[in-house]
This record gives sequence, structure tokens and C-alpha cells, in this order.
Amino acid sequence: MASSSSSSLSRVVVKSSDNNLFVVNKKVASQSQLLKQCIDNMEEKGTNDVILIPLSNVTSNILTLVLEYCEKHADFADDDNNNQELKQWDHEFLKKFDYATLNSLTMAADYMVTKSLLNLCCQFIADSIKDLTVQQIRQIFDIKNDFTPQEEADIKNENAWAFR
Amino acid sequence: MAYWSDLPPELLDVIATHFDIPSDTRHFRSVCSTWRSTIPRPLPIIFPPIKFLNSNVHHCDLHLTKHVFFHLSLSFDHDAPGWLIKTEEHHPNTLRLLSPFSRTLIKQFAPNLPRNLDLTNIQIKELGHEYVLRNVSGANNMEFYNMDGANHYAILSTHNTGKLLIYRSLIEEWTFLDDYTLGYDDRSIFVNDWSLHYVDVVEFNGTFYAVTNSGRTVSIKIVDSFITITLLKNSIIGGDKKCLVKLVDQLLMIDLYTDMTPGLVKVHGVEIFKLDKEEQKWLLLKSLGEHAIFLSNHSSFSAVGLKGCKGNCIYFHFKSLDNKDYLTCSESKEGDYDKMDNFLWKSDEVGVFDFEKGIFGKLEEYLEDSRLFSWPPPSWITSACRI
Repeated sequence: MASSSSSSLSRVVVKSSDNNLFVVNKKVASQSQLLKQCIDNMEEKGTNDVILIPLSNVTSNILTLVLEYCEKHADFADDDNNNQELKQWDHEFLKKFDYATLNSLTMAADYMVTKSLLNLCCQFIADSIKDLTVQQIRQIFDIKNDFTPQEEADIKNENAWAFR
Repeated sequence: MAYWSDLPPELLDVIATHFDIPSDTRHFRSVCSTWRSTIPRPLPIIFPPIKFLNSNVHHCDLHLTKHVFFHLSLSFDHDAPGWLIKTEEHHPNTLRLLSPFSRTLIKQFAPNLPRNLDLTNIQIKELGHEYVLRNVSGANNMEFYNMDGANHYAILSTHNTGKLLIYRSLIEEWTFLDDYTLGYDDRSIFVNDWSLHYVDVVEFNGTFYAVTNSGRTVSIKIVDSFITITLLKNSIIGGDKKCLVKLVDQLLMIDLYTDMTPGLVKVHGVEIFKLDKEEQKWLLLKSLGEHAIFLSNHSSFSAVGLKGCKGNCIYFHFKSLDNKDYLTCSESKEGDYDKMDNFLWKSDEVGVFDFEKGIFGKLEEYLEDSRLFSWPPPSWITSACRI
């Protein structure tokens, strides 16, 4: 028992879907609940070896971004006073990406259970949709209008104002 | 390659929780069938009936109504003028129009205004809102705050007596606030000292703020059945009229130096303060940036990026700026306003204060697009969007 509680990993290795390996500090990895769960499980078993966590759904491009986010947030994990700086960083971080990358990043944040990143992505997506017309939303997200004429008519009705 | 239309339902749900206005949610679920099947139709806002001020009157409830300022513009024609309206949602998606700077309902629409307007391809911006109680004289400013969930809310209102009235859903009753922090004692009903006469209220980050024309500012925080009132500022040496305006995530107090002879309001100067959230005090603000502020007695809001409308400016509607004469004004002028065509932005009714230069300007110079507020509505509204 004593040996299992004292065993602790300092780093893990994460493998992307395209088979690239990333060595990640435990504190950084813990930003992802998925990775944290894996680490906790291994620690419970008392393993002292470096563990390999394969992520079948995340490419190395996207994993690099998620880890960049996790690294930044791990730095600030114990420090509430720097919240404003972190918020600013978050905002600048997402602004750099095109919508395809944003999509993959959102899915990866969901898969890796990185809640704050997921929430940040969803807020960003919602903000980019606000005030836009339906057609504009389809354009920026490259989505086809797949409604039947009947549904089309319902949508028109739902999106109409009647002045009385 | 990931596709946006394949986003898992739980993520679509999270995205939809970030929309503040129903038209954004409606547009979102009109994009494709997956999104539509995931996101439910936004529910209409229905306020519960509010008890009459005098609790002995049992036969009649009051109805809280929300007036919303919208700016509509055409997404595919950047030269087309925008249209700014003040609306009241009567039934879901059925709107009444109000004259933008008073509380007068427009009863006679322009003949060419489509009675049903398709908004699928119109950009809709919600600029602000105000609350009124129907069936009660509309002279008081009030604010509604939903504390947690559907049934726990509070309404703070100014009152003719100068005092503040609060209505809490927990006790279903209006009460006058008489905390000593407000400045007056509770022995007399009317507040005779104008510097303690509360004129504007606002809800900001879950706290109510109220202000008198002399700048006395209090914050009012409600937790369960406790009301905590804190004095932020005793008075501000400056102008004689104060308005509270929300600007993105900031609370501003606009201080006007006016000359209010009945029927003729002049604004000589303007100062703007912003609330320091940490310190809970007012700080002088040097610039509004790209934002413009629109002011009248009951309808103040800020806007950014409206076509043809210059930023760092304050637009006033003189006719409805006069506090003291509001009641008589509104009665005598009702006839003028209730026809849509009669509301025009004329230089003698609207003033522009250029905050950067510190001077008053001519409306024509600052509002390139005179149709921004014009009645009847711009031609793309009257022609293109009929259903």
C-alpha cells in the first residue's frame, strides 16, 4: 500500500492518431480529464514506468494546439490573480484559427474532456454566429441547406415578425 | 476532415446556451436539419403577473413588458441603410412598434410596411431593452432581474415620490426601499430633497444600481430575502441630469449639464463615468471608443458599428429628455407620435455631442445615413422581405 501511494509519475507520453509521440508533463496533462484519469489509474496500480496514452481521434496538428492550451492553463492553475491575462491569452489563442481547425479543436477538447477549452471554443463559435443571417452562418461553416420545401416554409414562418 | 453539420448534439447544445437573444437561436437552428433537430425552438418570454402596487387591490394584476431595441440591416447590400426600431413582443413573434425615444405605441403604420417580415436574411442586432409595466403610467424607469431559474426574480423601479420601489417574486409584493443608505428617512412619503430623488436604475452583473440627478449612487444586492444596499457615491459635482447606460461589459453614468425650461431642453456639456467593478466607484471616462450612445429619458442604449453612425458620440432626443414635464408632455404629444410617418429625426429634436472634440455637432454631419432612424422604414424593408 505504502509503495502505491508514494508512486507518482512526472511525465506521460501521448500518441496522436498519426502516430506522433508527445512527452507531456503531468501537471499539463492533468488539464485534460481523459489524460488525468489514465494517470490516476496507473498510479493506483503503482506503476513507476512512463505510460503511453494513445489518442485515436486527435491528429498531431490538433494535439499540439490542445497541449499548448493545457500548458498555458497549467501555468496559471494555482494563480487566480492573473485571470485577466489568461482571458486575454485565450481570446488571442482562438482568433488564430480557421473554422476547420476550430472544429477539430472543439472535437478534440470534447474527446479529451478539457472542459475549459471546450467551453471557450463553444463561446467563440456562438460569438461568431451572433447577429449573422442564416445564409452567412452556412457560408462561414460551409454547411449545405438540406431542408425540404416544406421545412423551408416552416423556417420562414418561424423567423418572421408580424407587426400589429 | 470534420464537418460542422456533424457536430455532436451535446456540443450544439453548449453553443446554443451562449446565445442571449432568441433571434440568434432561431437563426442557428435554421441552418441545417441536424442543427434544427437538436436545438429546440426558443421559448417566448412570459413574465408572471405582478401584483398591483396597493396590495388591497385584488382584482387587477400588472403585466411586465419588455421593450427591445433592434437594428436591422441587409447582409448582402452594405450600402443599404439600417433600420432602428423599438419593439414590444405581444405574442411570440408578433411585435408592436414604439417610437424609438419615447414610450408611445405607433398605432398607424406606414402603408407600405409589410405586416410580416421574413428575417432569415436580415442581420438582427439587439442593442438594448427597457422594462415597463403595462396599465401603469410609464414615467418610471425600472429593471428586471431573474435571479435563478424561472420563478425567482426582482424588479427595481423609480417612483414619482423619488423613492425606490422593489418587487420580489418571493413575497409577491411591492415595497419602498427605506434603508438609511439611500439618504432619506422613511417618515415622509415624498422625497423633497431633489438630490435624493432617484431617477434611473439598472441591473449590472446581478446587482441593481440606482442614481439620483446629483450623482448619489447606490448598489442594491438581493440574496434570498436579504437586500443589501451600499452607498458608492454621495454626490458628483457636475451636471444636473444622470443616466445609466450599459456598454458591453461596462456600466456607465452619463452626466448631462442641461438647461431645462419646459418644452425646451438644451444640453451644454457631457461627462461620462464608468464603474470600477473592483473598487465600486466611478471613474471619469475619456473616450467611448467606437461606441455611440443614444439617450432619452427612458430609452438609453449603446451601439457599435451601426452603418452611417459615428462612434464616440452621444445622440440625444430632446423632446423626451425633460424629466419633470414627462407626464404632461407624453399626453399632449401622443397625437404627434402615434403615426409612423410623423416621427422624423430633425435637427431641432436630436442633438449630437462629439465626445472626442467635446463639442455639439450638426446631426447631418454625424449621422451620414439619415434613414437609420427614419420613418417610414427603408425601401429594402418595404419591398424585399414580404412573405
